[in-house]
Amino acid sequence: MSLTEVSFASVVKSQFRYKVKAYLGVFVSLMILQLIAIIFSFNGVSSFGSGSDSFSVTVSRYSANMVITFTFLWAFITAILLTTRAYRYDDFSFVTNRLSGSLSTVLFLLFACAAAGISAMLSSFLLKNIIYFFFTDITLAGGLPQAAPGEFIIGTIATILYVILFSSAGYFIGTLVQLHRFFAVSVPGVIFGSLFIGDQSGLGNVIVWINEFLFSETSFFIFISKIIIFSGIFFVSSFYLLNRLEVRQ
Amino acid sequence: MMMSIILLAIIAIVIAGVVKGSGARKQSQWFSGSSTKWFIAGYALFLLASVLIYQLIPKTDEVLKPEITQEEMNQFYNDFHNAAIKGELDSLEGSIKTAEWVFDYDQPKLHLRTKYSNHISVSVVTERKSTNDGTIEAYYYTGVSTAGNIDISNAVSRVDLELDGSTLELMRPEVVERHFAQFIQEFTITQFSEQKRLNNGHHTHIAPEVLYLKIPEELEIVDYANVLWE
Amino acid sequence: MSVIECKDVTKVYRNIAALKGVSFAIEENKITGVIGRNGAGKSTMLKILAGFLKETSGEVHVLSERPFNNLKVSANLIYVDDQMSLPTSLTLSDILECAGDFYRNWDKELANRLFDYFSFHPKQRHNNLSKGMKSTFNMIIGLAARCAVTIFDEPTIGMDEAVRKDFYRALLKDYIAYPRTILLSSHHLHEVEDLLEDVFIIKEGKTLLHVPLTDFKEMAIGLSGDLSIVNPLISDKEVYHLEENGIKRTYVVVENNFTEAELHEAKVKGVDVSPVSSSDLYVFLTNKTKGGIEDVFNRG
Repeated sequence: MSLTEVSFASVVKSQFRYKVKAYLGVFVSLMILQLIAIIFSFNGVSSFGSGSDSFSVTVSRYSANMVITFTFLWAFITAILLTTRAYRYDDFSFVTNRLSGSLSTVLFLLFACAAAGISAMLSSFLLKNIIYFFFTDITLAGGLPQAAPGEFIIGTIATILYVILFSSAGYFIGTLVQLHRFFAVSVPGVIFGSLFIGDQSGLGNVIVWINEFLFSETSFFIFISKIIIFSGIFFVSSFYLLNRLEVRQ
Repeated sequence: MMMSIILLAIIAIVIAGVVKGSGARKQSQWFSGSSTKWFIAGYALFLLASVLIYQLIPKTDEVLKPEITQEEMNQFYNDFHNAAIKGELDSLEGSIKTAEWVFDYDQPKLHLRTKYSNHISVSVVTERKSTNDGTIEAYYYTGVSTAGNIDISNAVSRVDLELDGSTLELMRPEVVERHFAQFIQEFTITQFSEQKRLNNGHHTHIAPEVLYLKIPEELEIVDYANVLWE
Repeated sequence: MSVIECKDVTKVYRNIAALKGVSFAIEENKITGVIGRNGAGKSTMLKILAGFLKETSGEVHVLSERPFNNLKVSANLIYVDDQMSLPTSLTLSDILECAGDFYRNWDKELANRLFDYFSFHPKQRHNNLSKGMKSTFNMIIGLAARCAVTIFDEPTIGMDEAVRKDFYRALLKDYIAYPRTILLSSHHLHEVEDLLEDVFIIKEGKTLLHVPLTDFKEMAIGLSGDLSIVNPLISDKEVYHLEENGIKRTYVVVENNFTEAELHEAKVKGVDVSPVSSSDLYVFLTNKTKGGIEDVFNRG
């Protein structure tokens, strides 16, 4: 039998196609979660009011922020899922090496993140339509705002980048867990621990720091660089760690 | 803080459940086989359709002003009060005359009170006319009330006046309940846009109200506590 | 040219040695049976060849390359067993389509014909298949991929007798039409005997034997007779098996390098000389003790 020559790129391409077909389910969970988030959003992201015995005023503010937040968590968990054993083993039923398998998974993740970010942003229109057409006892104040196309595009890119960052963190954590069970316990412990200990110890400052570092960054270009650097570090170190992992022992 | 963390944990667990439940590489528990593709395509179309529909909704050019600060509001209270005493409300910027009444009246005393014995915090300013023309002219002034950056002036119920014998009765004609909705832009948009801090206020400012009475020279007003005399 | 070459390969899993120095070379376009008892290290060896596992020490070369993380090896080698991980979100026909996307020599027509022959339904899912059907489906992928090196690790698990026979026939036919290097592991030698050119026997993580099947068949001979007569005959031979067979009688299996004359003489002395079937020989060779299970009971 003649030997076939394959290029790394063509293998990654085949694997990407295979994953898009086989892991379509991630979009189902995305859709379900976004719809749940839209329903939650009917309550408004914030609401306040005031009144006396002769009048009462409530103002509810609506946005797709909840959908975006859910999408972040979805990306994080989906990325962890894709590092688990069954998914890694899928690669090894066909032509692969570890790097091409990881790379194609990450490409698939990036693709899914882009779809997730775009759908999260578009869901804001769905939410506005529902409020406009079905919540007729509510007076719309300030009319129906429309972000300038430029702003909307920047917002969508930013959303996608956030989603990618969350997925890269999930991918990295998932990789650690695959390397050693120890991480399966310690990583959630550290995350939740730092949330609970909160303000008293220095750990709580992590959240403050993340908020300062990412969510308060107003320069779009600095923001892009920060996300690329961080998710790049997460992905590349995952590639490195996964590259030595044996399969199907 | 604790509550929100627990809430976050619950949401995370729900999301993990949904992600696992729809199991990417497994046959979906909720959708059978190839219908997955159609559900996803359907969702995408649905979202695109809602973008289109949203474009078709006629939009008014209602522009919200930046939120009024506490200082500006205090300043307005002072100015309004001073202008009321001086009888210069008509020329004060921001004051609005929303109602006026004229009653024929020729008795020497006038009782002024609220109709349903509930307190109404309206300042009353009286101005004696130089003649006894037998009429009471009443004017109602107020300003702009806001919640955040929304004008809620219409939601704050106005006073009404009724003359019953020798009593001028003040009342609120109805209890007004209003629910406002405001669409705000997603944080990923506002993070990089200039006008981001615009929507953050949660303060409600209720404008002061003044009932301005022009009464005949000899008329004596009794009973009402919250009356400012000129 | 050797397609596969292993030199002193060891593999240690968490302090347990699965391979303790395996060396062998496999020629191009041969069907070799990798035979061994359960836990002998067959699968470990084959997975190292497939690049799934990394050898702890030693040298492994497949198509002159080290297989771990090697794309060229992966493209030209397929490893098929009943544990193949396939996403169940895809239907069987989707999976065949994907496999065709990966393997350049993929024979779509063969895959489809086998698929129909074994009456699979295109909309079926891998996880809904019975064990035997799973093995059959994986076998279809293994054959249709037409890889230069094709490894079947216990491919017939769960298959019923008829399918098993069909599989071996299909394997042979396709091999004759498109010769390639095939490794077939099994713990039943008799099942694959008719197919093999070479046998490679692994015992307790070491190469026991790697010979052409024809040699293997003539390698040993069974002698049965009186202890006093048989013992001198075998004093300088390698004994593969020895059992007591009634009082003062014995049955031994020894290496067959007797001359015609020696055998004749033995027969004259009243020793029964019998050929040893290759599967019996395999069982004797891979027993831990020379007497097999009998030793457990004969402790005196």
